[in-house]
Amino acid sequence: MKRIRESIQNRIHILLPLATVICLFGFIGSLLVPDTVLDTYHINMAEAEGDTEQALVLSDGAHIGYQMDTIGRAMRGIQVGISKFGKPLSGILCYDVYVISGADKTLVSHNEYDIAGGDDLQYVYLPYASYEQCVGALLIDFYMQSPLPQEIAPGIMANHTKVDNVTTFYLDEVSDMTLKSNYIYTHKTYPFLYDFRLLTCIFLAATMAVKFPVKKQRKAVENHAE
Amino acid sequence: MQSNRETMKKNAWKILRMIGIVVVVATVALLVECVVFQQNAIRHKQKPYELNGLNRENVEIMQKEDLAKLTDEEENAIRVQRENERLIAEYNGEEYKPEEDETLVEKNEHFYRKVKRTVFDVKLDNTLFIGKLGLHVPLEESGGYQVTLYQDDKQIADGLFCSINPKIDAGIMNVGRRANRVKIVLTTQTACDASEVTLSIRNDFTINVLRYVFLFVLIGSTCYLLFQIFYGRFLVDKPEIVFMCLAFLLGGMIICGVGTNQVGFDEYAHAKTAYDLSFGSTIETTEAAMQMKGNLLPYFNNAAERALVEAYEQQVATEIAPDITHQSRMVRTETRVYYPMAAGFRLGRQLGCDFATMVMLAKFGNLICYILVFALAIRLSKQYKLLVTLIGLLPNNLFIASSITYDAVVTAFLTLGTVLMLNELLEPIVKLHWGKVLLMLFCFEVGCLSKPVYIFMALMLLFLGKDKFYTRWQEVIFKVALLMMAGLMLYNIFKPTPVSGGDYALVSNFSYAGDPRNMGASVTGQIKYIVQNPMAYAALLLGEMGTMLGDYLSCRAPFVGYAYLGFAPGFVNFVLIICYVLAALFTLRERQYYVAKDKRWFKKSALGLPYTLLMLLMCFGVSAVIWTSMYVSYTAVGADTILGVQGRYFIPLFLPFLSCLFLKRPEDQKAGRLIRIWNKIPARAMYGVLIYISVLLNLIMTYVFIIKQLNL
Repeated sequence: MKRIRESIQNRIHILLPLATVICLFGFIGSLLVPDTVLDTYHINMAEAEGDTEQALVLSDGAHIGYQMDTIGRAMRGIQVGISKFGKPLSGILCYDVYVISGADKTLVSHNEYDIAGGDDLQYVYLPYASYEQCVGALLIDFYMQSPLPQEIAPGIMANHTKVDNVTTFYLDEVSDMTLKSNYIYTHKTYPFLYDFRLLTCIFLAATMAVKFPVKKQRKAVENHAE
Repeated sequence: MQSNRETMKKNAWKILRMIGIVVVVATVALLVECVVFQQNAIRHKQKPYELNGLNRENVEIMQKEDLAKLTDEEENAIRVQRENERLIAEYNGEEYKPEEDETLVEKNEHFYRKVKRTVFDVKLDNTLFIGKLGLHVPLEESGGYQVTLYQDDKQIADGLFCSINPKIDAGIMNVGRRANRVKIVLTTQTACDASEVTLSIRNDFTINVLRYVFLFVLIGSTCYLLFQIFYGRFLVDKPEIVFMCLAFLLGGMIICGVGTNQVGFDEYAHAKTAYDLSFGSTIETTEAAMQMKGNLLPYFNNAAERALVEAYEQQVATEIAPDITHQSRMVRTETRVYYPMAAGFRLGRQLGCDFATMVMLAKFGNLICYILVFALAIRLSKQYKLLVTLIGLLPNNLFIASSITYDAVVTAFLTLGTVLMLNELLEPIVKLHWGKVLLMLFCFEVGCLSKPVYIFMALMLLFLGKDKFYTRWQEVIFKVALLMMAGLMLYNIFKPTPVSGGDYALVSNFSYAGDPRNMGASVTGQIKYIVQNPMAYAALLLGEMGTMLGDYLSCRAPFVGYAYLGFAPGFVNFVLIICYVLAALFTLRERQYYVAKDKRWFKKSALGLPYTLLMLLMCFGVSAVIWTSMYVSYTAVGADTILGVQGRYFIPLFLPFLSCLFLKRPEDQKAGRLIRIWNKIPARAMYGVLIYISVLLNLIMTYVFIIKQLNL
C-alpha cells in the first residue's frame, strides 16, 4: 500500500494533468456525440369512469385515420394497442403518415408492421420511416395490407375519451372514439457532459496544488551546459 | 513472548469486562422495562375482551348523517391538485373542468365531506382496564371513531380519537384507563353494518423492544460518557469512533421506530426516485412500492396497528403483479445522491426481505453513508473535532439521515468539504495538497448535486493567499478552475443537461417551471418580478431573513425537530446554541498551530479578521441565495412573503459560521483569570458533557416523538 502511494506521489505531476486532459476530451466528446433517446408521451391510455375500451376492427379493407398535431416536433412513432381477439392472427398492418396542410395531404412515410410478431393486446411501438418529415398536423392511416374477413382481422384499441386536437376516423367517417396511444418523440441527451466538465475543473484545480519538478530540472540542465 | 502473553491476557480481561458491563446494562434496562413500563399489565391482569359484531343486547346503536370539515392540509391538497390540473390542461391546450365528487360539499370557502355517524354505546360485562381499544370495521373509504369512557355512568375520559384506514380495516388506540361503559362514535362515508364491527379491549404484558433498546442506550451512554468525563481519553482521541457508535444506535432507533410511516419532508417523492434508481433500466413497481411513491401507505400510531400495516404491505408487495416501466440507465445529475438509499432497496430485494425491512434497509443505507462521511469529517478536522461531532449528532441531521431523503448526503458531504476548506484557511502558510484539494472539491460537488446553491460555500477558496501555492500562475489557474466549477454548477440550474424522460418538455420550458406543490409559482414570472422591483425584493428578503433569525434566537420558532413528527420546545434552541458556541470556542491547546496575525480583539481569533469577515459574508450570501431560490421556485409570483424556507437548509452553514469563533489558545501566563480557567478545562470533560447533552436530546426526542407516538 505504502509503495503504491509513493509511486502515485512520484508520478502525480503527470497523473493529474493527464486526468485533466482525459476529462477535457470526455467533455468535448460528450458535447460532440450526444445520445438520442426515445421520449414517451401518454396521450390517451385510461378510460373515464363508466367507459370501456373497444377494438376498432380492420376487416374488409377498413381504414382507421388518426389526426393529430406534433406542435412543431418531429414525431418518431406512435404506440397503439393491437388486439388479436385471443387468436393467433397474422398479416401486415400498414400505417401511412400524411402531413396535412390546409386541404392538402402529402404522404411522408409509409410503414409496415407484421402483427404476427406481437402479443395480443400489446401496445406496440410503430416507428415512422423518414420521421424527420413527420412534423405538424399529421394523419396516420392504419389498414391491413391484404383485406381480411372479420373473423381473422385484428383491431386497434380505442375508447370514448375526448382528446383535444385529435380526431379519429373509422370507415371514412369521424368516429366518436379515440385511439388509445402514446406519442413517441426523441431528444438528445448528454449523459456524461455534466460529470466531465466538472471533473475537468476539479482535476485542473488539484493539478495546481502539485509541485512540478520541471523548472528545477531545466535549471539543472542549463547549469550543466554552462 | 512473556509480554505478548500478558498483553493478550490484558486484552481478554478488557473484553470480558466490556461484555460484563453490557450484560449488566442490558439487565438493568430489562428490569426497568418490566417493572416500570409494564406495571398496568401486571397489576390489572385480565383476559382479552372481544365483541365480534356489535348488534347485541348490551350495545345501543344510533345512526345519523352529518358533514365533516376537511383539515387545512386536505383542503389545500384539493386546491393544489385543481390548480395543477388546470395548468396541465392549459399546457395541452384543453379546457379545464374540475372533476366532480358527490361526497364533497363546498360551503363558505371550505370543503366538507358528507359522512355517516354511528354511535355504539357498549356496556361492558364488568370493569376492565383498557390498555388498547381496537375497532375492526370493513371500510371502502377512510373513517374514524371517537371514544368516551364511563365508570358507573360517570364520564372519565372523552375525545379519544382514532382513524381507521380501509386498507387495514381497523383502528387501534392506546387508552390506559379503567371503565365499564364505552361510547364509540364511528364516522364513515357509507352506512356501516354493526354485525361486521368488532370491538377488542386488551391489556397484554408485551416487552416493547424499541423502548428496551432506548433504555439500554440511555443507561449505556450515560455510564460510558460519565466514565469518559472523569477518566477516559478515548473520547478525545477518537471522537469519530464514539460518533459512529452513537449515531448508528440513535439513527437505528429512529429507523426501526418509524418503520414505513412517511414522516420525513416529502419522503414519498424521495422514495420514488430512490426506489426507481435501485433498478437498472426496467423498474418493477409492486403495489406496496406504488403506494409508497404516492404517499398512500397506511399510517400506524402504535405497535398493534404497526403489525396490521406491515402485514398489509407485505400482502400487496407479493400478491399483486408488479407494474413494469422503463428508465434510462443514465440517471439525472441530481438523482445520484439517492445511491445510498437505492443500494438499501436493492439489497432488501436481493435478500428477499419483506417490504417493511426493505424500506428500513434503504434508510440504513442513507444512515451509514451519513455516518461514514461525517466520521471522516470529524477525523480530518483539527482542533474543532468536538464542534463537528456535535453537528453530526444534531437531532435534525440524524433524523434526515434515518429517512429517505438526499438531505443527509448534502449535509454530510458539504460538512466534509467545509472541514477540508477550514483546515486550509487555518493554515495560511502551509501549501495545498493535491489529495486534499481533490477530496474537498469532490465533496462540494457531491454535496451540491441536488442543491447547487451551496456551491457558493466553496468560493471561500478564492481567498486563499499566495503562500498556499508553489507559483503565482498555479494560484491563478486554481482560482479560475474553481470559478468555472461553481459557474457550471449554477449554469446547470438554469440550463440542465437534457436527460431522458417524459418531463423533458416541462423541464426545459421555464414558463412551466415552478414547484407544483404551490399555486401561482413560476420561475420566469418571479425572476421578472424581482428584476422589475429590486428594492422591494431586497426589503422583503432582509425582512424575512431577520424575522426567521429573530424567531430562532428568541425561541419563538422551534428549530430542533423530527420533521412531521414534531419539534422540541423553543428553549432547546438555546441549549443547542450554548453547546455549539462552547464547542467552537474550545480548542485543544496541545496541538495548537493556528497562525492568524491580528491585533486587538481578533488577536485571539484563529481565523483572523479578513477570513472571519469573508466567512460571515459567505454565510449571509448563501442564506440570501437559499431564500431567493425558494421565492423563485416555490412562492407565488409577487407574493409579499417567502414560502418554504426551513431552518434545516442552513445546517451546512453552521460550521463555517461558528468557525468565526475558533480561538487560538496559546499558553499565556498574562492572560486574564477567566481565560486561565477556560484553558484549564480538561478536554475530556468538555467533550463528555457536550456530547452527552446531544445524546440526551436525541434520546428524549426519540422517546417523545417515536416511541410514545408510534410504538406503544
